[in-house]
Amino acid sequence: MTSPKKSQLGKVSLRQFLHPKTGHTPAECEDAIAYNLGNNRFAIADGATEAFDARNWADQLVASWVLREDALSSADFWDFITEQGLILSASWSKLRLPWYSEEKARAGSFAAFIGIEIDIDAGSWQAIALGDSCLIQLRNSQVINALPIAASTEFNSTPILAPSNTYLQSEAALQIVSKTGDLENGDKFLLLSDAVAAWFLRIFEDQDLGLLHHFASLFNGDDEVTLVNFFETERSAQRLKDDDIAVLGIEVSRI
Amino acid sequence: MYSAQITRSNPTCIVLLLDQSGSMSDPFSGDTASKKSDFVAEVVNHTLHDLVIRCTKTEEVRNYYYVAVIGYGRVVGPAFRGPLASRNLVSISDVADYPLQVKNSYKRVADGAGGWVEIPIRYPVWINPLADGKTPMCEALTLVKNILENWVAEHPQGFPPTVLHLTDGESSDGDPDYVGRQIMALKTGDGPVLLFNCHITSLRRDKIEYPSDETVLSDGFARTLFQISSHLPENFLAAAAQLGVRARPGSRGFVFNADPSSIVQFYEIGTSLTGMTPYRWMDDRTESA
Repeated sequence: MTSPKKSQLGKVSLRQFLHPKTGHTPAECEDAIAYNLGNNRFAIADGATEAFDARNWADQLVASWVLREDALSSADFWDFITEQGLILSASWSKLRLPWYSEEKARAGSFAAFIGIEIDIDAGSWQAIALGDSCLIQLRNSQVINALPIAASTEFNSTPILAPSNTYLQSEAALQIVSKTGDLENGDKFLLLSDAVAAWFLRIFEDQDLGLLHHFASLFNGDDEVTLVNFFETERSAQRLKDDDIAVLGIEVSRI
Repeated sequence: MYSAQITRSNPTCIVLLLDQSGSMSDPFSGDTASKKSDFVAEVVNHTLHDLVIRCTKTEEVRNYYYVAVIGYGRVVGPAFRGPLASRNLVSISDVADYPLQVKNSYKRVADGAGGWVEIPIRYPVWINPLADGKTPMCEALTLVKNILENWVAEHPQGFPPTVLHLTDGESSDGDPDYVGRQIMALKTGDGPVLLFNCHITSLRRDKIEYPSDETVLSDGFARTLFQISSHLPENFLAAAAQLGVRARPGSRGFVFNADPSSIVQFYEIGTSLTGMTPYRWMDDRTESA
């Protein structure tokens, strides 16, 4: 888990939270968060637990994407994944792997990804996604956009993810989702990995406003331990699937 | 029941119990080239391979499972060969690191342009085919019972152990009913030990898969095995459904007169545990080198 941080530059406020599965160390968390306030790009990725080198793949995707100026259309994003996958697999070629790691590496790595670029001056945003990590746009405490999944019941255990070996997984290109939207003063965006996205959408669907407000106050506060305990309680109550958690909150203030 | 999360701190145990009596050197019906013992050894090696791959995290194999491979024929004891010989229960990371040998083979994969390419792979072997002696099933089941008594005492809240027993004939040292029931009576807080039985034959007979009613079994030995076969829990039923196998609530983990495809499915379903997608290995290998 990383500490929720508050950073402010111009008109964007950020908060972020990473927390591993129960019984796992922070170093074993395979969700990743990155942002670049120079171009207002924000991204999260969720490395597939079963995949080879999933943590590095998730880290590499978000860290590289926020530094780019392209990779916002489906075709460009696929080229970006292909390029990054070659870099990742090249890093493996230096390794002397046991037979079982070799077998895993042969299939490549996989991660869910969602990234957003916000143009504050133009009052617009553009997002690109592959997999089940989600972007939720809130305006006046209402969900006005949710992608690529918009309902809690639509999550499943076999999402199509961003592959490091695009040659073996070419059909994944068809699952890329891109979307644009408008922006108003006070809009909030949440980038969420799948388990916490499903949880958030469900409590919104149920209009469990007490729970929502409790989460919002903890997420916006400075007590990281209480926020961790809150999610642990949700896991224990089986309202939240026991999976890595990544939340990146973005609040836009337009002057 | 059967819902405990399998973790490194709360692992589960899988026992592969193999008939290695002399009759296992006979061929399957209609196939004079392939001995039962050869095929079973191949399936067991692939099952161990699958279990290792499931537990592999990059360069580490996490100990979600502890595995016993017990053979019975001229002797009763561990069937592992090589560095693991003589060990009853082995962590999956030791299984990964200490195969008897690693063979070279090929796997057919999509080339991304609508075609297929063959790529070299390595696949490990832990056990060799063996067919010698009688069928001391009771002695073997007693050894399994002893292993599992210790396991459930040390892992009282874990996902219950699973025993996959494969045999081609009747016991030569008595009725296995009593010790079989003793195994099924062992339990953790998550449920009783699961004992599944697969009977294979060299004769051309109709196979009976995962029955829920013993009246469909005309053979006395089949009824004995039916009675010491656990009901398939929900997760295992889901795995069966994914493989296209007809099993329903109430079905026992039992196959009689199994043919080669039934044997493969028996191991795939029996190791699906918490509803994991069965690993279909049969189409993987195209050629041994």
